[in-house]
Amino acid sequence: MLLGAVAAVIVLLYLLKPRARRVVVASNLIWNRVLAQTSAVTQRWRWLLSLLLASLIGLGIALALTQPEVRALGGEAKRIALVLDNAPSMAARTKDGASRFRRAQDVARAIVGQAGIASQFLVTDTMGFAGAPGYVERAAALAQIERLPIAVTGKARFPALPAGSDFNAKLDRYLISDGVAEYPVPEGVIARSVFEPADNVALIAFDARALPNDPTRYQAFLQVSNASLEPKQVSLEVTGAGGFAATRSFEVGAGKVSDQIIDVSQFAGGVLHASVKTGGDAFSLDNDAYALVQTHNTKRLLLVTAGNPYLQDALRLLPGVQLTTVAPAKYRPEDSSAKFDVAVFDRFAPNSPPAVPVLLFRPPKAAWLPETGVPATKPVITRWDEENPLAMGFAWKDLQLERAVLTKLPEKADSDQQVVVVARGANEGALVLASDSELRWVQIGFALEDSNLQFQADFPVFLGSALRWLTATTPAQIRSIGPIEVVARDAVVSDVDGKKVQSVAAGARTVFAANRPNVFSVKTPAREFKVVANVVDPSFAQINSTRLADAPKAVAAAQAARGSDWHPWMLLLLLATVLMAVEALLYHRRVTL
Amino acid sequence: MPGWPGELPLPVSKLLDDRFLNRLEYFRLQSKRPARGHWKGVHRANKTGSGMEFSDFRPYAEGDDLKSVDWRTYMRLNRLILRLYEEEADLPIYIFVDSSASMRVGSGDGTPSKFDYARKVAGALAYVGFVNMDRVSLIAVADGVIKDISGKRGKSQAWPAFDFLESLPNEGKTSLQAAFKRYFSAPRTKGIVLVISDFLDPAGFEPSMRVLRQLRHEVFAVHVVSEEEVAPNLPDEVVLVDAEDGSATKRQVTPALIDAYRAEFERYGDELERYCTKNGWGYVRALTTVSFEDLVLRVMRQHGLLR
Repeated sequence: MLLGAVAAVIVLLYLLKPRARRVVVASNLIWNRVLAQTSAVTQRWRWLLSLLLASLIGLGIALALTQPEVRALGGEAKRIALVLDNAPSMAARTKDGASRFRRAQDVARAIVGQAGIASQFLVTDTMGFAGAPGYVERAAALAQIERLPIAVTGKARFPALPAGSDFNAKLDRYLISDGVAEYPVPEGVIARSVFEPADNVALIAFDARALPNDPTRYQAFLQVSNASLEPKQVSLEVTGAGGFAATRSFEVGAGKVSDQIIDVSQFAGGVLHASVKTGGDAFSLDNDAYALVQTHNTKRLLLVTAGNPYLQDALRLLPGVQLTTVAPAKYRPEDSSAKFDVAVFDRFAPNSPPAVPVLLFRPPKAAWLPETGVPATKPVITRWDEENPLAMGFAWKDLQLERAVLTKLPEKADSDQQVVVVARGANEGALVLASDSELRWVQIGFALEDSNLQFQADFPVFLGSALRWLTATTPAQIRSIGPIEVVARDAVVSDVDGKKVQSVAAGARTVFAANRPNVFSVKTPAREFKVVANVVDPSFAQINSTRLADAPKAVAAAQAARGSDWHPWMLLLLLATVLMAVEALLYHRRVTL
Repeated sequence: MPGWPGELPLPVSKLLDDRFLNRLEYFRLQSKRPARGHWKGVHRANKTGSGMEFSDFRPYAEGDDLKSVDWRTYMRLNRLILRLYEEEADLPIYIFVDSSASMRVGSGDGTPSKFDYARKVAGALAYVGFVNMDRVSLIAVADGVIKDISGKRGKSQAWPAFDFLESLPNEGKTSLQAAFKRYFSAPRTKGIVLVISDFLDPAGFEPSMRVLRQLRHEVFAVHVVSEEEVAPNLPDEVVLVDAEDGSATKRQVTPALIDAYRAEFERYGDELERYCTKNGWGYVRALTTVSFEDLVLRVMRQHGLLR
């Protein structure tokens, strides 16, 4: 229709040319002799050639401007779903200085560019940043591809794609990935790999703890993983405030993990920063890690008991502890705040809460303590929080109990109370409960004589952990990088350099993003605590374990497509321009009219 | 115009200015053959008579003019011998001026039309003839003889001749053959025939020139051409209208066509020149952009028409 209309207009214009000028000549004698030599057929051909050229030029411009869906010119109209993998491993640097994700964007752009003019595109990702997009036109799809970010944490998954049942066009689904993140891919999805081997040395674990037998001595435990395909010479550096620095250089074999222990007892306390460096490292996100070292000095301990030699001896033998034992009758609440750092109540609880953190063994009912349940006989320990520092280092499964009082499990998720150990009697309840509120306390639901706790070899470990937790000035929360949610209302968050971090209040919680390993200070009007954000997943460093191996093909195709990013309308305009130049040349030479 | 006492004043003409006419008085038309005029003139005739140039001796015969007897020879040989002198006669000059419509074109930008140019050339040559006491005939031709003044002699005939030229119409088709046949159907003394024309005769130039050849006149062709005929500047698409018959031809004008036209036009002029040369005639191509004074005073002298 369009072609016919344009051709008709051009032919009409040719037929409606202005009349030829009349020129009086002396005689047609000479002209007739000349004209007798030229053929009228030639004139007709010239006219037809002019008309043909003008028609081609007109049609070329018309098609370029309107861009109708001409299958031969614009390609087949399809629906194309593009799933870009934006898992953290896609941030790995490629040999050309770009990144796997940048290459994935190139491949996506090439697919969009090669698709038919009237095709529609859905651009989404494996980390859920794109939300639930719909099918859009080419320009919008290219913009969406450009906007997609790389995630620093989270689990990748292949998103659900709308089928577009009301659309008759064919649906092509592409996954553009490095194949590192593992997730099920639906059948029929065309995978395009952007994988390229890359060197990566990572800090996959970093913690600083006091020695169990000497809380005044601290050691930093580090694990350095070499995910490269060849051995790497690694430089490890641990630094802290006050000029503390410890460096090591060592070689890590390909695919191996090196455990490093560094004595940081000289470090008075605070934030420790560990970093690894190696030549050609292509993935920097896992090169740093942070740990928090509590201030370690002698703790003054008040034990209130009617008599418990096992507990008394165990506490006295703890390193860095100065123990004072009093009977419940002699307990003065006002003494505790000035003279002691922490208190231990053995089967005792004052009516009012003490001024210092307290460890309680089977306390009686008190208003400031959670309500206790019915005493249980021979309760069985069912589970414990392995991540909780109070539960770490103790074999809870070996604990035998004769009697215990199980506290009702807190219902609210945002409660200040932490359930450390759960046991079952008649009902399930908290055997060890801790509170991280303004007054920090740890409540143990049994007395020592009703258990074999005091006979356990790691009993001092538990006591030491409890005392450290209770006396920690800024108890740190260990989190993975990415979005971090903390129980703190209207908190102000700042990073290790003191820069304020953008955060969002969500009720009693505050959410902020840790895009790199860091130590954050979370401050509310009531309290302040630290959050250590590290790469906690060891598989995070494995950027070379891919499921896709046709990287060169996909990347080369993308580069080739990028090099020849010609749209049909561009070619049509170019053709029209060339034809115009030809027409101008021919007209100048009077070949055409 | 000051003149010598007793000299006739120069005629006042729109065609030619006085200064140019003065210069023309130093020239005369040159014929390759002896003049056959019947009147006393300045051209050598092919008979003896009372001229100034010695020709021959012959014995006296009764009735001869005694003024011609060479008395010195008689004293030496005691015989009456006559000195014979070449006769000097006038030269019949027939000037044909093409006044057809085809001669109308070519004017513009100070350039005269071919017809005006032809009239000026004719007037100049006629004046030269009049000054030298030649018998001058001016004939306007188109598809026949349009108008003529024949056999005029003497400088005093110049003004009527110029008046004749100025009054000529510029119309009609071209048929030189018909015109020559018509004019020479009456008895005419052989002389110089000057044809001032564009020679754009639909029948071609040969039939007309053949007439002159048969009459054994001495011919000098002045081929008048305009610049727009030599190098036409035409739009891309044009209707060519013949000035004489009004016939129209629509053409797409291309450089190739223009080149072909120019070659054909040149060939036509060359053929005419070859024809004239072959018959011992004179030929000169007069481009209207060239000053006609230059044509008359220089080019025609070079071609031997004027001396």
